[in-house]
Amino acid sequence: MAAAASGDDPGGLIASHASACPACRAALDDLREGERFTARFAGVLSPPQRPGSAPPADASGSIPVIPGYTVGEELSRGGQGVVYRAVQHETRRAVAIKVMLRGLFASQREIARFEREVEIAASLRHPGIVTVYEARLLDDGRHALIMELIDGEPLSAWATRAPMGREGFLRRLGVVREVALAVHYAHGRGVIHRDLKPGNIVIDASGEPHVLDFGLARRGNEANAGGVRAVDPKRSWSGAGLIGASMIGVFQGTPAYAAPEQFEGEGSAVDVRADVYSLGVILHELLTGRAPFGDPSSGLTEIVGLKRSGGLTGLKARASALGLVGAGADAEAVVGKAMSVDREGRYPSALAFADDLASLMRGGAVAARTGRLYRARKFAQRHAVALTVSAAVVVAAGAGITVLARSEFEARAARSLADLERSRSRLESARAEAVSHLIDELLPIDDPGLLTEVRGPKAGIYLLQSKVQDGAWSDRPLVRAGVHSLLAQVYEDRGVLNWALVHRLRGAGEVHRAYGPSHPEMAEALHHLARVLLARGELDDAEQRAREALRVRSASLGTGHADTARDLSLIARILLAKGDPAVALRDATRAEAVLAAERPGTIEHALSGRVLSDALAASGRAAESTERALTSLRMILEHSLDEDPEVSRALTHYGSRIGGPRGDTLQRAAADLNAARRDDRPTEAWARWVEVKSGLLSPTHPSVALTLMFWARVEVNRRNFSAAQSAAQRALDAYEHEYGPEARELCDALELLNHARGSVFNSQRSAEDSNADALGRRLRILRATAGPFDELEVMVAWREYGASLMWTGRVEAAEKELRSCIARWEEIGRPVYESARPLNYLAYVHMLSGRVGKALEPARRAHDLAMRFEPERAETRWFDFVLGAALALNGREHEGAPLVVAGVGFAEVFVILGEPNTSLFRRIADALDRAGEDRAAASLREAIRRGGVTPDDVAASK
Amino acid sequence: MADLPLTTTLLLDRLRRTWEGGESAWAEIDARYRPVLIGFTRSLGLSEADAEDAAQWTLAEFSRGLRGGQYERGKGRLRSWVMGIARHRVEMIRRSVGRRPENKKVGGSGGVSPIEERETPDAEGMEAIWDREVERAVFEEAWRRVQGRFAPESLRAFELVAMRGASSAAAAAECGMNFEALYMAKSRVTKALREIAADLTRRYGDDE
Repeated sequence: MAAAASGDDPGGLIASHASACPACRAALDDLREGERFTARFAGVLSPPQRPGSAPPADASGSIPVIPGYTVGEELSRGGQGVVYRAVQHETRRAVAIKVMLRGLFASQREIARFEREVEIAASLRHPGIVTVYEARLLDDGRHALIMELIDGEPLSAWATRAPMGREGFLRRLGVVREVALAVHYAHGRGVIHRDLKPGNIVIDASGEPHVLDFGLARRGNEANAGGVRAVDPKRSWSGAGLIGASMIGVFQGTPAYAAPEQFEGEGSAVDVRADVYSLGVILHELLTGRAPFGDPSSGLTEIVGLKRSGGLTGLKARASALGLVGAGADAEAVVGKAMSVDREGRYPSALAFADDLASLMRGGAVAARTGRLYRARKFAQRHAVALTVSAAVVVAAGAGITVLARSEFEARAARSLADLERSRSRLESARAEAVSHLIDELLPIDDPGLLTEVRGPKAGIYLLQSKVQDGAWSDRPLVRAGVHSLLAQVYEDRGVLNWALVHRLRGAGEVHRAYGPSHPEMAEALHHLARVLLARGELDDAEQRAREALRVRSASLGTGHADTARDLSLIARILLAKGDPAVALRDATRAEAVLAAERPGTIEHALSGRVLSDALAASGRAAESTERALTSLRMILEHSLDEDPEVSRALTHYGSRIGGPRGDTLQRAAADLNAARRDDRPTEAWARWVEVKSGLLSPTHPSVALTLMFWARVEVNRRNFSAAQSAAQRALDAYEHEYGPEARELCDALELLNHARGSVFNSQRSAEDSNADALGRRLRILRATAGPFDELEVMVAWREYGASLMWTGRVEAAEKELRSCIARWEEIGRPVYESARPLNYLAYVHMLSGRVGKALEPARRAHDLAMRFEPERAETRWFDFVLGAALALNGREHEGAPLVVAGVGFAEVFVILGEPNTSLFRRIADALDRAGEDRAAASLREAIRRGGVTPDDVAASK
Repeated sequence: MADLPLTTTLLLDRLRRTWEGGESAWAEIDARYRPVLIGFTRSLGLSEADAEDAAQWTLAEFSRGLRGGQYERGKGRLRSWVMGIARHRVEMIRRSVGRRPENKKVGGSGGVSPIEERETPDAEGMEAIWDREVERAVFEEAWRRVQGRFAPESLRAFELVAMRGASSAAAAAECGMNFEALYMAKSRVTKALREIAADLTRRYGDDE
């Protein structure tokens, strides 16, 4: 199967089995994913990671996925893209794939032109030209060019190893002649290269040159502006290819090889003789070790100037200095003719140049050349570009589901209430699982902080929808039913009722298949179906479905069951909509009574109360109706988060019942809650909402405290600290009132209060503020209530408390707490990375209070611990700094200096973030200075200076 | 809790809210972004030393911006902001290198300019470079983390087959394994790497 994953599946036997066997398919998919990952991994890490000189500009993003190929290591990078080694599955042929720079093509016309160029390039069949097989459009929108893979090295690298002497001279001539013949072949087909250079010529193992990038107009960002025109195949070769005004931009990087006329302005035609010029430059470089006009990194204007002035001398001397024998006046003349500034003076064609090289070579003994490697080539027709839909959607669809493994038949046979309840709990598990699937789709990141920032939820829903439509979980009808139910819920909440109906119907179908028509789960499905129908105004249908649900449920669960009461309550709603308040009131009353007894205070109870309220109102009993509405609203508030749509529905409902200004206030609060994102809600709206909620429940109700906590967090994020502080304080008071002063529930509020007060960005922060007290109190509560798994949390809180004492200037107290914290770690006897932190702080405290002699030991221990557990962690550089500082302040400046330098980046950032103790840093710098550690001292001073520049300073300096 | 893996949002939150504990949050951010910034600025043509300087400068500027309230979630992508700072710094370094006397020589033979002349990628190109550097950082870290989790020969087997393109036979011979063991070793390492990489990638996930 591993072989099949990598494309080695003779006759497709494995693939055809896998297509019929879900387990194997999943396994195969997983293997393929693994292969793809490995190829990517190897591609990113395998090439020399940091070559000596700066790496070439990147051309693309990650390793591409190309159907039909296994993409492997990266071979090279250039201005246009990245080249990878790959294997074509079908033929097992090794190929090179060049993935073009994203954004290389500015328009559809550019793309069309590129495709035409590929077509032309693919028509070139010459052993000296790297064959282009096809172009592909990748799923990620990049274009890829699939080419013949040549195992070899660039011409420039080859030249450094090629022999010297007479043989070397002839070998070099021979290579350039081969290149010239290949170039001439292309010229004959109307294609001019225009960017010939050693980097575009690869010498294979048998010494044969191969020219790359033929027929592809060189593109850069500047070229997108419209400067370069590609070869027009309809034109004759002599006039093909026009180079425009932006040429300088296009040739940035290799101007050394371009003909002088390629730098000319608009209207200057470039013909085959431009390539002849480049061939001359290449020959010059091969014979002398350098390009004639400065090295390729020289400035463009210099090169242009030199080229225009002609001035090519000294080839003979340089060649002989290099160790080549035979490069005399003849050779100089050949190069000179090829590189004539005036193109009329050059060889008229690459063939003429090649012929002259042959003559040059015949002048003496000729090194035998090995036979050419003619390789079997296939010329692929240009493939129609097609987007393939990602297959990843189906991956792992059948995996990981363990609930409901027991026979569903069993459940169908169940008759006793207990059995039914059990089966119900199983369905709940399946639902919970479906929920987790949905959450996974909706939230690509497991970050609760992002719950307010769900991106592209629609995308996730569509994905889930397509999974279930494509038959995912096909052997788990209840999971499918759960997914349908969720999707329906999503659509109902958004008012997209036609889709909600579709999913309710499909979900009911799945349940029917799993359980048959008489199971309570069938009743549940019918109940929800009826709700959607009611929302759509299809009242007769709705009533029929709801009555069916009621019948099934009464038969299996009895009339006194809470779920039966929910059906009854729904029927009451439908009857109200149909204008039958009398029967509706009867049913609603009965339903509410059952739920009050069976599930008091729940959302279900609350909802039945709302129906009753409506029925009372419809029957002219307004006062009772309002009272019911209020009771229902309170229950909802107690049990729902603020973002729950039920909350705003209940508010609107109650608001419309009571009417008047108070009713308006409630309805406005409901509208506030409907604001799409919590962060968008202004401070006043939060205040209004807390007021409303306090009024409806009580000011100290835990649900109100929860709202206050949300509010405080939002205000901290807005850096609106006074509002944050007051909200956090009110939350704390509320919790304290409800649970007492030592309850665990207070801890979050205390931490939040600390955040609200103690932010580094809080300009009102002062030394005497009490945020350390908040942390101290939190620590006490945590310690008093700690369970067996809370140890680390307590220790972290302890360290945070000690640190906060230090930052607020209570150094003595900080020392005491940190010492106790360290002692506790010793008692625990299982040091972890975290146990290094209080030691580090203690060292810091000692340095702050001037007792530098005491700093060394804890700094050393902290450093050792950190190095022992996670030496690679970036934070260890802060440990470095503290230890280095302690050493420097204890007369061991030379030992300390490198450690200080290692952590100086941290020091700078900490100064920026508000580190109040820059005087300590200055003392360290002074000590280093005195010991002659100038560099370390200077870098620390620089860090303090740069770190101390405030945003205002920066603004002022601009 | 201090040592749970946190996404950037939570780290920034922690950094913004308190100084206490800010070091560890900052250390996380540093660990996450410094290698990416070095790779990114190197890809824009800086030398190793200049890239390290640019990375430090960018992180410093970034924290300054955080403090000055120049960055707010929801107002733009974090990474665009960081990238903008880095790019600005690259331009500054390029200009200052251009002014250094040794780089002003006309037709200078020999000495290679420390800054390569190259086209500046457009916004999409920048994003692509950034993505690649994140991926590289993730893979490097993943590779580091699997060290010690597997027997050296398993890692060697993976390296030979997956990263160096060795044939199974050669790799099996070198690691002293039969084919089945070689295959198992490779797939176990692959699985671990995938999991670690996925986890690490998630932490960069809210850069947007």
